[in-house]
Amino acid sequence: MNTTIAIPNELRDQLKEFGNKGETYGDILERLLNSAKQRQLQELLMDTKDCLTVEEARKRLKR
Amino acid sequence: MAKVVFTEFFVKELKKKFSEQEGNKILDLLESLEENPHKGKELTTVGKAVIKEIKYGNYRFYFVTDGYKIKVLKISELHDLMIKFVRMSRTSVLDHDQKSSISDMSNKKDQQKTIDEIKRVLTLLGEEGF
Repeated sequence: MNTTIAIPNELRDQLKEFGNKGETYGDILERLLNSAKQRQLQELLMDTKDCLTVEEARKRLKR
Repeated sequence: MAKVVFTEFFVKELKKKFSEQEGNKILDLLESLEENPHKGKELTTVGKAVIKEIKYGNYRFYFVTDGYKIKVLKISELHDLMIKFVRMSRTSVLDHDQKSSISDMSNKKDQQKTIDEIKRVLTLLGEEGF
């Protein structure tokens, strides 16, 4: 089932630029969303905020 | 050369379970991944990140790498992240080549495959997991 969403023409044109031959706007959006989600998942896994280096870890072991 | 980092939880647990000497040996092993990032058994891939395990005695240590960073984490942290994947990957499908990978495509029919893959990985995180 399809629906209509209102977006500025400029945004639609930008979206079009991402498209490949034969792709619908839905296809383009789906592909962009998939890519964003995959990056998000990867960032979550690879987030090294608050992580310790080897040297820091060794210091902690000493304490 | 990839850089190895450890989560705080991992280091706390390491300190709790091992002597300083043994702990340092384990850190040596994990630090060696910087020179040999191909070490360890691959469990699955998430985008460009690979989840792997490496054995030390009876223990298995888990890490995630994107080729530039190697993050060593506790098994429970990995569990939590995998569960988060299930939630975030509601519209995901798995790419079942020789190696399975958690890659996103939106197809509800295949959502179950993602969940099955997560379950498969969770079962691989065995009792000897650290």
